[in-house]
Amino acid sequence: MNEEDHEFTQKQLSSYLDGEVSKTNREIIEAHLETCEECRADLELLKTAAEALSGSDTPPLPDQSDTRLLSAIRAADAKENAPQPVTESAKRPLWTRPWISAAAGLAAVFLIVVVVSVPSPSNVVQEAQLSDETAQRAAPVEESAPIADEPTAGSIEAIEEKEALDLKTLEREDIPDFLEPINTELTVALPEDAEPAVTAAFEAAPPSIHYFEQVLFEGEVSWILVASDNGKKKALVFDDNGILADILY
Amino acid sequence: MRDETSSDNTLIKEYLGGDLVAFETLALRYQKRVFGICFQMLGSSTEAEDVTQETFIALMTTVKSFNKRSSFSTWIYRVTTNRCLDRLRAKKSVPVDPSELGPQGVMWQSSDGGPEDSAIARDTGELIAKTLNEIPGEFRAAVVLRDIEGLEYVAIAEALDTTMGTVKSRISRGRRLIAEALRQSQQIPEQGTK
Ligand SMILES: [Zn+2]
Repeated sequence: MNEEDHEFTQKQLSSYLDGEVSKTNREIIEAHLETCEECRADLELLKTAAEALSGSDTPPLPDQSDTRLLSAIRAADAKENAPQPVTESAKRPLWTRPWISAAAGLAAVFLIVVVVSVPSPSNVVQEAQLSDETAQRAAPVEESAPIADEPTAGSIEAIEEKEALDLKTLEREDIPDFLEPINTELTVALPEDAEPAVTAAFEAAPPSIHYFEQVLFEGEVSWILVASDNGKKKALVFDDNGILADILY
Repeated sequence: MRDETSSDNTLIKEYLGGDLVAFETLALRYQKRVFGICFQMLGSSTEAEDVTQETFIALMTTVKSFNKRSSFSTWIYRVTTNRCLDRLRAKKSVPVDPSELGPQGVMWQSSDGGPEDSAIARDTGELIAKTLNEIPGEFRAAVVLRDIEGLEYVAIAEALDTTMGTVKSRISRGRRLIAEALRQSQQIPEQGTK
């Protein structure tokens, strides 16, 4: 009996049972099983355990648990929607936030305004302010694409209508090429009132933004925000409601 | 507009548009599945209901970052197992109340055979519930998702936010621990030693 094959088979038996091994590995395992009683017995044992587990039924839901679940959901919703000064802005679609507006504005004037920054913790806020100002200064350049500080839903529709016919069309597999580094970097800071989901996304992605543009991604109107850190790039995809829909690496 | 047959994605969209009833429809759709996982993970009906509620309340926020390109059920599995693992970590030092296990084990294991069959089934069910409770949460989550929920490895990797390699080894370890417990309880005869 080949000791190496034995160890390998021991490790892979459970995955083999589920058909989750490659063809080559399956051949190695099956050849070894022919010769090894211990592995055959272990396979049976794993099968028994898996069958015992899969034979178990889910217990019935406790009485009235659906009523209690709905009450809990309503209570959480009521709490979430309790009048608070920040609630209104927290509920706005993502791209109406100042930082996103700034990024969108910058994307529009990317070729005109070159912003070079050296990202460091101490200047992040300053950078964000800079980008805000940059966007405001850039505003007159893009009268036809009204990304203002407080855009209305209508303005977004206007942008979409204007650009719908001319959006860059991207599929998932286009992304690596699309992410070719752009030399200019812009650092944006997360607003304090960002929703947890956005915060999480930004904690996951480095704050160094390469690119921000509305595109047709896999056939859907989306916003693509590309960020990178130490050469590792990420693209965040926001859906047409401004909700984070995907993170691509 | 919305009804019981609306797709998950439609309901999510409606909820994000401000329709709470859409989320409630979604919650009722997945309640049993989420409760089932919580029960297998936590070994107690009361606690499972508690964490089921927590899971849906957490989903009300995290659904905003739901990745439409993976299935909503995978996403739910992810939030559910994370909640269960959090709960397990929080109560790590608290021993499982054995009185919780007995009656649950009866309900847990189907017992449509004869009296003897059901006695064995009940014992096996109890034993598995007990063993599941004793193995580390990460292994437990992997075998629960694989063998009880029937998820593909790739979906488990997504739900547990880990690699395929780790999923494979956790399922393997988990099953071996269960198998060992079954063997020690004499429900499986000792087999093939070297
Ligand atoms: Zn062997």
